[in-house]
Amino acid sequence: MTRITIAPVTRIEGHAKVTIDLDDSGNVADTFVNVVELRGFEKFCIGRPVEELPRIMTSICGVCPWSHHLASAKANDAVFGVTPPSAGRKLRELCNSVAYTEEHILHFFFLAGADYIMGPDADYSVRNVIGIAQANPEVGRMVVRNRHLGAQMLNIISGKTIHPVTAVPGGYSKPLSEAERQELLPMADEVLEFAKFAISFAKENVFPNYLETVQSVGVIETGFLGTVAEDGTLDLYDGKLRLMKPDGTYEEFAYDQYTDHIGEHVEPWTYLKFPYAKTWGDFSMDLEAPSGVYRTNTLARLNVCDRISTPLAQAELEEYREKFGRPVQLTLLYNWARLIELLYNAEKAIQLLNDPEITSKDTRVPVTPRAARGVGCVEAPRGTLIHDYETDENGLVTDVNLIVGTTHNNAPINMSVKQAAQTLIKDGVYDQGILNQVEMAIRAYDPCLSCATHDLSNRIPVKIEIRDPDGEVVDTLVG
Amino acid sequence: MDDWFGKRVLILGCGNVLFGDDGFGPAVARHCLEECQLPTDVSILNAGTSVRNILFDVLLSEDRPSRIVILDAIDCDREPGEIFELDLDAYPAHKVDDFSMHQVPTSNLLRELRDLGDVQVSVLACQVAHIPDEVSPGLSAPVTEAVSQAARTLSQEYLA
Repeated sequence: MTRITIAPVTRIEGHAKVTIDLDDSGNVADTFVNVVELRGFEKFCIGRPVEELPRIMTSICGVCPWSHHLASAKANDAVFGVTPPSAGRKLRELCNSVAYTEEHILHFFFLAGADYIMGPDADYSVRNVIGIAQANPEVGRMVVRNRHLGAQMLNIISGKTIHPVTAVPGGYSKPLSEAERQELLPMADEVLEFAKFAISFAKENVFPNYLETVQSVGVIETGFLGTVAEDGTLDLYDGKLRLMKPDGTYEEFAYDQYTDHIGEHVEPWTYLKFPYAKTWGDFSMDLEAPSGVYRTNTLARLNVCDRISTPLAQAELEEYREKFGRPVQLTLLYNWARLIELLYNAEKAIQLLNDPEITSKDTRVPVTPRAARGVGCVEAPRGTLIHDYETDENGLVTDVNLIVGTTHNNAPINMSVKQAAQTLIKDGVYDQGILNQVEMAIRAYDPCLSCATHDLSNRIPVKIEIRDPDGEVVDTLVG
Repeated sequence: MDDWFGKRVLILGCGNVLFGDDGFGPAVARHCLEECQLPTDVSILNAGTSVRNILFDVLLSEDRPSRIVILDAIDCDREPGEIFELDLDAYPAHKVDDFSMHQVPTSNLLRELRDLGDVQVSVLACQVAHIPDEVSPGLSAPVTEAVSQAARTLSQEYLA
């Protein structure tokens, strides 16, 4: 058997290692995606006042601090048994929408987009954001300008760009003034114009060139999980969870019932668990007959929702469904779905800023400690994010469980890598372009893999090990 | 535009405060913000784990500092608490780990800033005593001692 190892996978949030085992004829026998998980965080939270968690959660990772901050605040609301005032909820939603625009612009243009804009076979010295900026200087300038706008908007709404603190148990601590709203509106308009440009640019210049790749790389059949409002409309901040089977039928449940519907499978070769739909039967990642596997993140959200509440994004959703149907199983279309969500969030931010309630001073209610369980959930850019807390009568944390977006996608990422490797590697023949296409299947999921080691001695960015049938390394390639 | 883009010097304390000595960079940033008199054309940020996000935007921005100093915890077989400047050119020249936004800024991104962005880039590093496998905040004794030393080095070597 020959073993190929890609470690760490590049242009994802964190580190991952991919191992591809080839059989004696050089075809793919099996694949494994190992991710480095943040360990010990739940234990660290035990005994702390639960109201500290929204602030502490942003230290988990600087990649999507707003999602953890908001999910934690919502879990606090539930623990304390309170409902934030309407303005408090809307300010949280506004932060969520603006943070999404920053994240989705980043991912499409900086992380996944390089493969499409520069081409998957382009040398990696140009297949990156610098290459994009040099080949398309005006696009690079607009990307940075709009990410700045997002950061600046969050600074106005929350007072901090990094490590937010304003979502508190019972609401939001910093009311928005009319002067701030007036300052934000033109910025939000500019981000919307960019979102419109981004999806047009991608549809005209990027996606048409790779439809063949989209139809073949990483394609698997799974179910999907996402949040919808009561009437089935896409909602990224609040609602009910909809778990859709591959045939499009679905079950729905409240956040705090997730343990009745989602199980956690364990594999001996990784610390990261494999959440699965336990109401569908046993768990299996067999590509021919998968069972219980579902996906989260953009592709899933656009599959489970019936409609989008903003007009431009709804029009894009209709066009997308016209082309690809519902539910869409093509993994690389995560990137297309991401741009529709970018448009939705840009529109949503303007809707919220034009809501008369947004400048209300009534943004939070008082809370009193009690023994309780509370589950908070938001749709993070990378998938459904669940925070589940329990407290004692003094409001001190006694138990914590987190399921983050990337963990939901653990099984499908493994399956997509196996499918991509089996499709692309034949008779032991592979090159850097092929291995990059395997990585593209991972990057489509925009995984965020937490880790905190800075060990220079191990900092080899991409390492490919080829092993003979006895497990001996016969060749090592460093990219 | 965030105002730090227009500063002459941008200092970024990076690392994860939840992982022991990895919190060195944020600790120095906090120390400087609380204890030091900073020139008006210098900005210090506790960037935590968001540092690559910031550096990416700086790199592609038309308006950028003339100097960036990265404060970071590193494990490379020196005495725990030792403060030293990393040589960017001593890193291996691989081009593929540039674009993850997580953790420490990669050497390549820093070199891009220096070579393409015309920014003078320095990394002031501290040798860690220990970085735990699981969440465990708090600096070790030698790295705690190194925080004020790093602040002095910053003001003597980089802010003059």
